[in-house]
Amino acid sequence: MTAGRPPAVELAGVSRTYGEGTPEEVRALRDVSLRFAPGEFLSVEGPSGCGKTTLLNLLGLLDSPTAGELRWNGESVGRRTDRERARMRLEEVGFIFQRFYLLPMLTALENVELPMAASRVPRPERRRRASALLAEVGLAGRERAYPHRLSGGEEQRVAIARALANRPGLLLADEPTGELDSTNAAAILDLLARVRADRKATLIVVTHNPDVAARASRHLLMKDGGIASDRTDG
Amino acid sequence: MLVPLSDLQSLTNYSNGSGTIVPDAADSIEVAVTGAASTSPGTLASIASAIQAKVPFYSVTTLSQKASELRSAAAVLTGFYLGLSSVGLAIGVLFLALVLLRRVESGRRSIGIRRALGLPPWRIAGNVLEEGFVLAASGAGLGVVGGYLLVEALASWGSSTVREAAGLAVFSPIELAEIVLGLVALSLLASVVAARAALRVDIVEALR
Repeated sequence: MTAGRPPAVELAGVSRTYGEGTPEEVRALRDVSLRFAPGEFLSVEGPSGCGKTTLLNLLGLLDSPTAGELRWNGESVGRRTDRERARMRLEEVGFIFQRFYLLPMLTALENVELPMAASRVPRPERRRRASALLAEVGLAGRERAYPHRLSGGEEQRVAIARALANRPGLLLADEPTGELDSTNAAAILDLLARVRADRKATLIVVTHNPDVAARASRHLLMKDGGIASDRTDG
Repeated sequence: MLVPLSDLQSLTNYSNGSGTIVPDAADSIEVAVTGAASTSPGTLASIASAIQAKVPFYSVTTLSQKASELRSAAAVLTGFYLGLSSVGLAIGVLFLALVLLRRVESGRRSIGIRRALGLPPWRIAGNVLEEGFVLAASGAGLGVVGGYLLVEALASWGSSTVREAAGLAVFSPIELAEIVLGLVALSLLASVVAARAALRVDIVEALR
């Protein structure tokens, strides 16, 4: 894999079942086959519990398929070791979560620095890059603020800056505007669209919000763990 | 060689002249053996046996036997204190492991976030080990300094018995350093348990 260059991602007959063989068995994803071209902007929509987040977790190597194969640039990656998957997440994937998931004991700057520190980027360079990223998302001057001092919109901006820290090729966002008011949501969407275009990264956004989905060029609709429709804008 | 005084009086027919054996408050008496016999364990043993045969209801021991008994008693006492401190240490290490496990449990979300971002497993485990090390080293340091200050205070302001006992305390820097190092090493073992728990945190579960 090459950090910064978006991987071509492919799912071949992928299923994810939780509690397999138990009475509580849940088939979250059923035999999904998809292919994402590098640099695409996709929205994934569907009712709650249809498997959107499971799909995102598999794409971001947070979880492993119970059947089928997940490939990045033709290489099977779904069942690699924890260590390898962690390295791939660190170098290739940027996550943006609905609930931001900033570390409360770290400042905005330190949160953005975290992935770079794990990648052993020298301290002065990661300081400089983290500051530049915070400025890029409109948070210049808020570097020393702790998450509890930030508004929801600001927290999500920090989370986006953190997701971009290691210049990933694949950006995965799970309801990125789910906890924001409409003004902040629109600003965050503008920001996401801009950073995707600047970096030519693949952006996959799970959302319930039609305004968010409208920004994407390809639209997946999920139902009962499968793909109900796959539409690309003309 | 130690023989009860009354037995020796019987053995030597010592009396106050009226035929009555003189009672004495002392409970034992030393019998000195001179010459080559004093350095021959075999001769000493045969002398002790000869005396013992005359006073079968009392204990006759050689000095080397007595020294051996004292050594055994000291070993029992040392073993007792060692056992007691081992139990204390085990409880401390167990407590540290439980504290760290509790911290891992309450920090599941934070661990999940770090792992989701791609921080390598060794780094997650390293954080837990580091925390255990800091706790153990601080505890050991505070314990040593606190113990020293307590003994000093008792030696200065305690009752005469306490002052006397406190005066017997020996602070050997090397031994203390060894104890601290041993304690920290044991604590790191306890931290490994918590580090393993941190590595088993399911990312998807933690972020739910």
